[in-house]
Amino acid sequence: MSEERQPTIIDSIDPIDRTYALAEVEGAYYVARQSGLYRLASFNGNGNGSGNDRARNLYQGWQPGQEIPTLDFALSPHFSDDGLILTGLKGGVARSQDGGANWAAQALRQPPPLVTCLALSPAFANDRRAVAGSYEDGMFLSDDGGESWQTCNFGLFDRKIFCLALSPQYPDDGLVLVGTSSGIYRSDNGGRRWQDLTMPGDEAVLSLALSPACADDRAILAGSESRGLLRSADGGATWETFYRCADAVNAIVPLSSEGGLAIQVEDTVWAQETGNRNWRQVAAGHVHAVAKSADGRALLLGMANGSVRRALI
Amino acid sequence: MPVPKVIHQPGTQDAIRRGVAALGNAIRPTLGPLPRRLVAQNQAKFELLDDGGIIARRIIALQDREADVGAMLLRQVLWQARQQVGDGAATTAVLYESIYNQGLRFIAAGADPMRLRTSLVELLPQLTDSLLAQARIMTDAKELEGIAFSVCYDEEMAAVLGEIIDTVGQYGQVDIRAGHGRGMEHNYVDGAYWQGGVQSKEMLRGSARLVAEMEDAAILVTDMEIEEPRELIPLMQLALRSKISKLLLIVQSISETGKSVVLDDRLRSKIQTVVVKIDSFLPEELLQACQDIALLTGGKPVLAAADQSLAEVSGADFGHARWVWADDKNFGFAGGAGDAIRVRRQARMLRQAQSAAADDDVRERLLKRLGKLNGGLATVRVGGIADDEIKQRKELAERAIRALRLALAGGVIPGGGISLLNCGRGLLDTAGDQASLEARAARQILATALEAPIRCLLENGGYAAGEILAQLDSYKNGSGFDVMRGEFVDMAAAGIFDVAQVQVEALRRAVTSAALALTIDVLVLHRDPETMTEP
Repeated sequence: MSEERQPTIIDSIDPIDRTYALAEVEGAYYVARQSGLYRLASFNGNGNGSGNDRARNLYQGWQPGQEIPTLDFALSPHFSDDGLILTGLKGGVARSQDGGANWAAQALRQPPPLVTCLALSPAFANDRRAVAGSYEDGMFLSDDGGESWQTCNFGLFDRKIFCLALSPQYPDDGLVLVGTSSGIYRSDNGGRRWQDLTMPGDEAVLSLALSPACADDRAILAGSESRGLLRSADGGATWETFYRCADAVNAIVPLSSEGGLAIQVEDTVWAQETGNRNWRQVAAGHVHAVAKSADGRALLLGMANGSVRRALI
Repeated sequence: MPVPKVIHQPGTQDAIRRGVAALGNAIRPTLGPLPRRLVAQNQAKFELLDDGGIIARRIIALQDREADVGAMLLRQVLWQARQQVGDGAATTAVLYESIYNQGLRFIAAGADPMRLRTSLVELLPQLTDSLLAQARIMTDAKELEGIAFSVCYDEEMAAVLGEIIDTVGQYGQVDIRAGHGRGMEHNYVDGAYWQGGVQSKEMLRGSARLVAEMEDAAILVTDMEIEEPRELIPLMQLALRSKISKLLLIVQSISETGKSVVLDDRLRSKIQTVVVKIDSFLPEELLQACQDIALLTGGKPVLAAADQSLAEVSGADFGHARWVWADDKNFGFAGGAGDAIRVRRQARMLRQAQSAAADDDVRERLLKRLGKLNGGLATVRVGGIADDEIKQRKELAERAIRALRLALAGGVIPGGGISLLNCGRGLLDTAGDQASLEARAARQILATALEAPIRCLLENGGYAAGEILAQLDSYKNGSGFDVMRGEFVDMAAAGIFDVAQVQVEALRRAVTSAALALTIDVLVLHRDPETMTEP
């Protein structure tokens, strides 16, 4: 497939519903949607083939015919070895250890919360640590790869979690950030204790990203509901506006360790190249989710019409 | 009947010195990780004491009335230090005694007491800056465990408390209770809870664990004492109209006839109501609890103190929580629907008030309130072989928790007396440059005094302090002597720390109080002195 600056369609998935998250691993795409978690199994890099043949709802063997809204998912850093997938559902986390063939649901607590975001430790093979955020009940931690979960809301005044980000050096620095309906909270002990960060406006934070070199530059990016993209260069103590807009910044995708960046503002995607303060429009409208491709050369776009597109950056 | 007496010099200095020595000798053996213990007789019972602050408080009066003045001067300093930071009384006593005794020698050699006092106090900022320069912020549970161990010298307790404070944080609520086994148990509770249980066992009906639990419940909180059914009826009608199916009603008290309203079977088929009361000894505490519950749940308290009544309640006054529970002693909830921004602002305001409060009781009350807002709390059950041991371990655990909170707030410094020793380095180098005898004396006094805690700690561990201190000079900066293992170590790497604020407070109180004591010239002993249990 020749990649162009204009996004190219990779695939379409039926039914046409909302895409919440997507990722590319080992040539396959995983797409979390309102109706379930999909895998585009046979993608071989040339974009050919019928979408319906190649796209498969991974829950079908588990809950046939049912729609299971999936807001986020996390694949093991050693996915090719352990095949572990965790998905965030209403009421708990679903867990597969064979690439999605079989699933087991882990209830978090009663009444069931909606899991909005999930992440795994970069050292998951050793620490088995998984972190989940919920819309009603705050944060949950698992130390056994997602089999069991404990609430961890000490110092967290806002339990409406929209997003989370783990430090690339998480096993050493234990740094986790969460975006809530009223700002950002920071944990320096792996997500067990939280400290509220002062942000302009106390408003909802919908997306977060840590600099790949955050241990050195302490840079944090936060996408707010109506104040644009904010940047902190001191670990969250002070903030400056990095991209000013009145619309919601729904996603932030660091493109390189040198500073390249893509953001999703409402349903449009913008990118900024390393060393350049100007923003270039990557996709104009109808984008529901965005992620970086496995090779880092393209953005994956989950579109409103159910398609997944790939745009060169 | 004691006779009134006026004592002049040199009797004054001698009396104070004897009293300070009497109390100091009782406390000094408790310093360090290998302490000796003191037993206090209380009527027919014997009590094991190992905390300098507690020992100081138990010594109400010495037989020697003249020496008693010195002992009571020191006792007051130690008790205030304990009240302020919860630990460090033994270090304070050792510093105080060294400064006072040396000061007497310089006064005998011609130093003016008032000028000496000024010179000693003038050096204090330099010393505290030097202590704080050695401080660093705690980063993980292992370091917190080290701090807990420096207070309780109990590995199991240190490990549990280190983990707990690392989890709940500086302002988190930690309830320490007597356990049933020999060891320590702990668990974490999501949300917040208050003392005060369910007002009728009927409300626990159907629960195997005797805990009433409700999901997505409405909450109404009031400081009222509900006597008459007619007070409740409009409220329950409103709840029905508001389509509330589960209600936690928090009151100061409720009469039997009041309970009969909510326990009426027809009403219970429509609304599951659990009535709890808040245990509170002070009206102010009750009011604050009502306000905090309303803040966390997004409701509005109905306050008798503000001349409100239950008949005026509107649907918007009900708060909500995702999960509510109550048993016969406590009630609590998690996932309150309160405005997160308001909760955060209130927490920040309480934190500021807590750090600014001078009164220990006020600080404790504010800390309790902060703990309720914190999102969760920890419960520790301290076990032991006998009741006395459990009681003693509970006190130790409370002291260790307090030290851990201070460590999170102000950081830690290398322990084992090494930080104070480091503070004193360089004082003698500048002593010769001073023009006045008092300024030279102050530097010499403090250089020696700052060595006293590490000397005492080593001697308590059975080591020859002089030999160890002589060898210490050949080790790199940051090294110290691990009394437990009997070897020189890097103190940070070995996890041997002291709480910076505790050591600063010990130094500050010892220097200012001993310097003041040196200026006392005349003692007046009354015929009928008042005996104080509170220093």
